Amino acid sequence: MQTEHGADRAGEPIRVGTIVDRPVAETFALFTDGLDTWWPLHIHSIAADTFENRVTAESVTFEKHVGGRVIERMSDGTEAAWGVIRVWEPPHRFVMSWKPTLEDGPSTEVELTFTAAGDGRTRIDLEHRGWELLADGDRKREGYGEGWAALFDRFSEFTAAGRG
Amino acid sequence: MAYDTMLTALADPTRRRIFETLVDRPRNVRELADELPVSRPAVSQHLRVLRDAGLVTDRRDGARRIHSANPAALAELRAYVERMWAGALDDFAAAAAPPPTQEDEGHADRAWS
Repeated sequence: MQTEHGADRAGEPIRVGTIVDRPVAETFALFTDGLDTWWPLHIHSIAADTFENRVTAESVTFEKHVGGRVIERMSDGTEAAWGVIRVWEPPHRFVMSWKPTLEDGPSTEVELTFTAAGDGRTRIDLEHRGWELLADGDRKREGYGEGWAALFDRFSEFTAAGRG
Repeated sequence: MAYDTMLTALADPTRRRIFETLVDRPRNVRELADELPVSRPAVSQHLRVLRDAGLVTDRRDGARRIHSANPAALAELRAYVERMWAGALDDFAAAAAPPPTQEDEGHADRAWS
């Protein structure tokens, strides 16, 4: 049993949520169209992560349709995508791939849902999942691909064993 | 330790194979090269990327260098992502809070509307 270390959850989605005092449609619009007015771009952006703020992130734009990108524009004119929209159901839900980096490599996936919580308030639920999507295609074909989730699990068992 | 550095390090199938092998138990470069279809120079190069990403640590044992998986690395990655989202949602909730109005001062009266 790894439960006490949370190891059985290691490959599962990350879930966080909050409730805000605004109607659903307004909340969805502020979250997406207005993202660059509230997102901590100085900490979490490609400019911050990759260029260590030698350039700054100036805006983030949603191309609001399936297949559209979520694009960061930087002070030197560079544009880079955080991911691609996979589900677009305003004002209740969207799903996007998540790879906020210039490096090659696989994506994870983020889903946002916006639900009326009464009295004009909105509940926001965020799920960051798809760690197993990092499993490499070649590995699967060769038959030893266990996927990212399994790797997390194995690694957590290893960690727990090391503590015992 | 940056999120993207770690994910990128593990996205490479050979590097992940090396990492998984080290999760099994610590090994030196020769052991890794013997067990995996990878040359010693390539193993060394992959180990450097894994070490830079914080996924692997090494120590000297006489003339040999022993490489180990870092037990805390993936847990830290998960915790980092969780903190990022929790912080972002806090920032959002603060931005979404309606500005105080006169009605909030205690004079709201639905009968007037």
